[in-house]
Amino acid sequence: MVNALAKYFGLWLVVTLAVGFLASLSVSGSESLNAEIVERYEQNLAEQNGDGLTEEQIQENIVALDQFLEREAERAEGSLLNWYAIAMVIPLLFGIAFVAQAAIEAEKASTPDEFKALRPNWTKLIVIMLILIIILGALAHFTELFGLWPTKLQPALAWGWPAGLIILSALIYAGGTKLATPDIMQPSLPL
Amino acid sequence: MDILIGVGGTGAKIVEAVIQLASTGIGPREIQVGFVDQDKSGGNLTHAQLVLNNYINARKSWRDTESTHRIDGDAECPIFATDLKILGDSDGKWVPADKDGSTLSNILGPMNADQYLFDALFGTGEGEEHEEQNMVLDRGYRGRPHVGAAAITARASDGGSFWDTITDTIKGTGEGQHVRILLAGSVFGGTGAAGFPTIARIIRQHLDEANISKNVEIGGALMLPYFGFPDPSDDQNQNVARAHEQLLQARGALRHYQRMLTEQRIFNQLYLVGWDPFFRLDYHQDGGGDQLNPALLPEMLAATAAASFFTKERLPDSDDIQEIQISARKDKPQINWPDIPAIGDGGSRELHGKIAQYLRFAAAFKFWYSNFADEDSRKGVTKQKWYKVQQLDEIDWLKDSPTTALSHLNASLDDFLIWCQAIESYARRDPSFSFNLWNVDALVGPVDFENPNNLPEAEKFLTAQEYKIVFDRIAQKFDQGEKAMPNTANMASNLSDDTLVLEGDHRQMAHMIVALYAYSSVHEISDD
Repeated sequence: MVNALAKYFGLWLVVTLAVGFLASLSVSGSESLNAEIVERYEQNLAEQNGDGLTEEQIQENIVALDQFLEREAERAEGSLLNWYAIAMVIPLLFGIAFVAQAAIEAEKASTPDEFKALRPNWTKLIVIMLILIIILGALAHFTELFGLWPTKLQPALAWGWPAGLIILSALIYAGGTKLATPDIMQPSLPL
Repeated sequence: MDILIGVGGTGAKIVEAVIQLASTGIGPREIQVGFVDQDKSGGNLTHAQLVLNNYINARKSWRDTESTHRIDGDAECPIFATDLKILGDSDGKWVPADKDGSTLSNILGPMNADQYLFDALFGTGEGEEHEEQNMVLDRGYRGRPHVGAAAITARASDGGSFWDTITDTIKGTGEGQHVRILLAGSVFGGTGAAGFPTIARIIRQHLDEANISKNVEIGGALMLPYFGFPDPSDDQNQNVARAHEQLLQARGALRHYQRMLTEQRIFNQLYLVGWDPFFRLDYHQDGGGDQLNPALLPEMLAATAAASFFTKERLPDSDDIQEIQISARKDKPQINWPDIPAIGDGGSRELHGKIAQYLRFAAAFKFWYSNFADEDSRKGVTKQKWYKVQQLDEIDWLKDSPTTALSHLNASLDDFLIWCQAIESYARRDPSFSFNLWNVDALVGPVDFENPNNLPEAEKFLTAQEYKIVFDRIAQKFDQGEKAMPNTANMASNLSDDTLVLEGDHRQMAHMIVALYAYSSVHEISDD
């Protein structure tokens, strides 16, 4: 059992870290921010700069805005990664649950029907897992539980990450269970 | 070269028991099997021939060099390793007086000057119950061994392929061959009591006439009374063997054997098997096809005697050696594996190992077979690991279908299971007796004690639930204190383990069969 759990955890960890690294790269400065928000800030700045400020003051305001936008991007990246980390616990837990069950059953399974007996469980777990991921994505978008990154980041990133996480979770679960499930219980996987 | 001759109905039962043990892998390389029975349609004889034919078919399917599904060697799977052949060119049967309606009178012909002697030795004219000279012999010698001895002696010189084969085999010892001939029969009853010593004496005479004193051994597996049966009812033939006469007959016969063995060197080894108390049969049948007695435990003991005789190292060539082996159990009200006589160096434990493994294999086969017996069953399992590890995905099910081979195997397995069921059922009939060898009742229907010729049927397949229960309990441990035998989960794991490699070159379906057998071992399997 330990071997099986270690395999699943190992795959999950590698993928989680790799994708997490990609997540941090995807938010690269203010270019990642929502264009509407940036435009609003720039309009405010333009109105401010139209009140008889010197060229030097105008430049300072522009630099300050750039710095502010960079900080906004960093904050958005941070809250995205927090949300990502929490969300990734879900495929870990569900995958571990299935692999543990399969490892226990592998010790007792005696017949071809028993080898595939956990297939309904596998399916149930992936469905529940994906529902939870979707709920987590909805919570991120429609509440402030996980910060404001969905409103601050470009729509492609704001919607892409939750959507991508659904696919990623499914892949980790499917691939991890395929790797970690004992040979004799492989018929329980619909793959 | 080994020859086994079953004399009479009980002899046929012992031959059947030898065949059943051979199916488990207990036996020599080769045995030619023959029968001597005056009752040519006797149920015991017919049944033994059927079991022999099923064995030969199964062996041909799985051991023949040209077989598509050939088991390679016997190290990993010794089932059907013994090559059983039918003695002679025909059905292996010698009927001393084979014409319908034969009597002792017409066998011996006109007595002339010997008529008074004939009348003194053989009864006539005192009613049907006591008639001997003109008793029709179609259904055997009716518990009159003196009638049988005379008939057999008179007809033995007529030859026929049965005796020709024995004579040729004996003569073959001059070419460096070693021959062991075992006669199996009873001291009670008709043909067995008559034929057993008579045929042994005839064979010994042939040896003496051919000046052969080496390389031929004659053994005997002799049954003392071990079963009882009711007297015939008023509407049945009264000129029959009766159970209460058996002990008297046996006593007389043993005195005769004592004299014979003291004065003459007939047997190199003689095995005596008996049982107390008798097994009770609830039917009476004077002969013919309906006289099919159930398999009883002492017959298995006689079969172990036969296996021991055929497989032990050669006896020293000495005129003085006539070994008499007697089997008895340690505690009267029970039978355990250590009570079964030992065969070879492995002793009782090796015997237990082979029989227990074969029984477990039978249970495993009847379950796993259902998973690949037909196309629909196979559809659900072709992607499972065990299917590929056991090379079932490499079988061309159309061109090289194993269906016939599997049905032959199933038929022989069923014979064995039904045989075990009879032995177990009759042993357990006495509630004070503890039978601790096997439990096959979940695999075979109940025995009909009123009509033992109505054989029960074995299950064709086992469900998953039945399999799990049956596999664990079908064979009892050698010693109750030992740890449990591997279970169905171990079997499944081994079948799916691609690091466990069978050594032999087992062809196609034989690979799965050998795996099922090997992983039915009473011991855990290791990678070594």
